[in-house]
Amino acid sequence: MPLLGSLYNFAHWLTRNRDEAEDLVQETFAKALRGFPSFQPETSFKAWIFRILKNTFLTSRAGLRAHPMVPLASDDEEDAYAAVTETPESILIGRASRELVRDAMEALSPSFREAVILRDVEGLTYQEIAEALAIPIGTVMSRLARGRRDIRRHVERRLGGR
Amino acid sequence: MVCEAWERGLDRYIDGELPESDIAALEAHLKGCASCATVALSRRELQLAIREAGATFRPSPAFRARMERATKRRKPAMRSSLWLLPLAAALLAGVGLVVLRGGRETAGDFGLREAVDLHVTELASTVPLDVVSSDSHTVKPWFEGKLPFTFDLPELSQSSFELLGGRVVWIDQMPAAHLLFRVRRHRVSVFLLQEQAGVPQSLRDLGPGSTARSFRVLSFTDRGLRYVIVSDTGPKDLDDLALRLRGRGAA
Repeated sequence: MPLLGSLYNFAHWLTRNRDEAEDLVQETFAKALRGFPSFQPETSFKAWIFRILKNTFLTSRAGLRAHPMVPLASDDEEDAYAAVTETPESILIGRASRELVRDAMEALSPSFREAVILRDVEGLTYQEIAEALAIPIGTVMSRLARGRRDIRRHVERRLGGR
Repeated sequence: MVCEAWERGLDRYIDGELPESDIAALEAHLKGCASCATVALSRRELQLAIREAGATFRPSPAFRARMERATKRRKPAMRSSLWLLPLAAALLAGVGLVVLRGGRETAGDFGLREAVDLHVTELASTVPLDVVSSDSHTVKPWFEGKLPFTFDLPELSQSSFELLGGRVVWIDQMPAAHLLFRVRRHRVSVFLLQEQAGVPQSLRDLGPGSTARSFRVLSFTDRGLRYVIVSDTGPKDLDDLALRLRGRGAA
């Protein structure tokens, strides 16, 4: 079951809890099996099953507790690219410790984190992320840009504070 | 700062989403623009770090077993819809993904994609390797204690290959040795992973003449280690290096 690991990782990032992540994955697989006839073969299977997982999460106790909210302005694509600056030194940011980068991911807004994990960790395309999260591709790109920028800033602050 | 004309294109390029028609223009720009090249490398490095840090949570063996049992239990209940079984099996195995999505990269490509990404990053990097030496007796001991396995390196003094150095990398959450060689003006990455640790399928299914994102890729096992060679040099060079590396692995 190769997708089990990907779904579980995403579920754990959403719920922040092992038991709830397991419940979420289990329910996602059950729904996927029941709903397979509704899957359209010309579309992405991965986007479809991640969408089931995300929707299942939103109606779960953990999802209702989390109330992920992002101000509308945050999805502004123009704004997402407005203040991104990298320097030769920032190349080293990417080589920061795994724990530091993970801390930065923990601190991200949930909607940015979802996009970043689906793209950078799970390897979904922009189109697949758009389908999985039910958002336009432009919003996917702006969330990715903002999420990565926030991670970079978080790591820079932590490294600068040493 | 990145040149305004390429701000969004750069992210698309790094994400493999830039249209084919724009790639050559951007790559030409990167060769002449140190600022954009720095940004591209910086973003690529961050993306790799996120990939490594984000793949944090793994299902426990108990949960995995429970899911597999549940799947088996479910199948007999679906006898009235027998046509669904192959589809359900494909769903659970993730196989449908490959069939339905054409030539796109999939979860099954993950290890291969990571290896090629690491090679590309190394080509663009101005940051020295973690161990910089052409002496195999310096490079090999450097890895001791950093990897859960050891390996030997071939004698290259009579060959056209030169060892440049190496570093520890992570591929699909597994520690691996990344060795960098030079042959004439080409650089060649060799990744060594422990075969028994569960090497990604995409790194095991590479037949002769395999390519990924225009790079030639060669994979083989030897004495418990998986070797993956990535380069833009000719296939004869890859075969030659593989021949020299074979017989040097040690689990």
